[in-house]
Amino acid sequence: MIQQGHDDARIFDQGYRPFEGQLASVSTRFWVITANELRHALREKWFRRLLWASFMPLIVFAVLVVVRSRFAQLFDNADFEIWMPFWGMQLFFAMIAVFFIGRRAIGEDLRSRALDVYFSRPVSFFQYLFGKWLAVALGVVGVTLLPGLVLALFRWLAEPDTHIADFAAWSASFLVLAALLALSMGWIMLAVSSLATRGRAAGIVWVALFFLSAGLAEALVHATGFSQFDALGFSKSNTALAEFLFKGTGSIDLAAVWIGGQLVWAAAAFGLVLLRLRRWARV
Amino acid sequence: MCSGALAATLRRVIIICESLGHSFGRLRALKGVSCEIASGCTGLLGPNGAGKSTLIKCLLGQLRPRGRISVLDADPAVEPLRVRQRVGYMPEADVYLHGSSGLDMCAMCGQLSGMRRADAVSRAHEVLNYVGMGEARYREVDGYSTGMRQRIKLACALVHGPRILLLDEPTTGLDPSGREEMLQIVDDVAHRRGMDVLFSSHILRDIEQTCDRVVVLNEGQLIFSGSLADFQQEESSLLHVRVKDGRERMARVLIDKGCQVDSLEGAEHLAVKLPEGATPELIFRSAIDQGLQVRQLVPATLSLEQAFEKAIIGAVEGGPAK
Repeated sequence: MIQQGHDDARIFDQGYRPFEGQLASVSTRFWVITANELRHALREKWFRRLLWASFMPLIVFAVLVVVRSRFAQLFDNADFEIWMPFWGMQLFFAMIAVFFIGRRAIGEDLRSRALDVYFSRPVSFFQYLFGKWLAVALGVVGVTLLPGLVLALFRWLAEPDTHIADFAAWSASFLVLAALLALSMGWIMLAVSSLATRGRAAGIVWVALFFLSAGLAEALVHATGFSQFDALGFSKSNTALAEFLFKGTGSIDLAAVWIGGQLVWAAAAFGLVLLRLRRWARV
Repeated sequence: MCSGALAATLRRVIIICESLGHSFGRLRALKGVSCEIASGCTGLLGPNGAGKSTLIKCLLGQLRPRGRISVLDADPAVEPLRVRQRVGYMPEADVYLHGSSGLDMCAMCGQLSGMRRADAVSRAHEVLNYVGMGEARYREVDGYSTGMRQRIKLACALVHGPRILLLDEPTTGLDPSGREEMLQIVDDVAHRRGMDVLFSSHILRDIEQTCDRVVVLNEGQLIFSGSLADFQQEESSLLHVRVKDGRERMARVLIDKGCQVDSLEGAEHLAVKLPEGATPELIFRSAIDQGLQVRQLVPATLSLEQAFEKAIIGAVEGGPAK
């Protein structure tokens, strides 16, 4: 505020004055939380490097696509399958992205009593949870769906025998896989974070859970021969579903089991978060 | 009409509590609290465990109490977001956003209240200047001292320009100079910037220094609600009388007329308790009869400590006072 008593002697009042600007709608407050989480994650140089690195497979496979289309005679009888190795790599990047974005999401808020900061503002409990989950989900989508769509588009443009129907099918597959991954990984990470108040501990548990659940599922499938056990690992069932969508292995019933497996993981993790934060659930 | 009376007339009720009750398991934190809080600076006074923080959380809609509650004509249990949009809250606990700088935290609070990012950052700078945060605003909050955290919490409560400021023990953990600065800021927003303040504290001097009205709680019950002057007012029959040259003579005469007189050591005045049915007229007549001059005749007041102690004892002996 400027008080003009004299042209040469303006006094800048640093006292308190009411805010007279416009306030946004209450319904979009979750986005503030999401943006803040992503801003924090992007401050870490290793996360920024991960984002760059997650596009490396895209470049490698794009080169392969070009080479194959230019020298088609060399690959005549070869089974040119790029989606499964590509998705496997992106899945790994998704695991690390979730580690960076989600490990401190709720646990550190509990430790620093930041929930009092959020819930003394016009923010509801579910806006808070959705905002946190969306940050993790966007990280997953950023390193899986985005490169996947770009590669699918590139194949459609670069390969003469690829049609728009192929591009649409691949895009839809990536969309389903990334959405399931965002749901399961997002809520599992938030559940882990809400149980371990230290970010580092939550990160270690997350990585352990990722590999152990996949290892357990793999071992049970090998021991029993039942592919349904893939559903026990949230990443394993996603990979199995990717095989069904891209290669056509398995049946529609098995695909339903793998989808169900991921949804059960997400629902259980969501329930755990609600249980941990039940005190705030009515805010 | 004098300015004080005018101000009292113009005061509007901002918070209404009717038969407010809340329990944490078997512990009854609030037991049928009914009061009206008018605009201005109101102290929420009570010993630890009196229910002050519980009452504030009810006002914010963080707890769902029994009874009726209204904050700026909105029910926090029904419209918590609407209430929180218009209220600024400084919690007692040491709260912060992990990994954020003071500026980020303050701007984030502004954004959570609906401000655009650019507005929130600009506004955060303004309020951080106001609460006296210098370059430290760019450092991470995790490394702040207690005093700095209290300032940042106050800045966060002020950033969106609330109509009511709820302060829960804002001077906790502050050194004397930090406490004095905090009280000056509270006094400034309450008395010069037109914001209504509810100041919760168990430190009587903080309340005395900043508030005009007071709500006193003890063990979840309302002990008193009204002006600070009324709270400190001794029972009406006790008067302080000062006479010119003849203090002892006046004391003797008043005792003869059935008054209880306490000639306080070192004090210029006499503490006089009139007999049943007598009026202050008795004092003036006695002075005229003795040829003495009454220089001052005022109702006795208590220090806030005495008034508080009396209210608490009264409540323990005979339930809520008034």
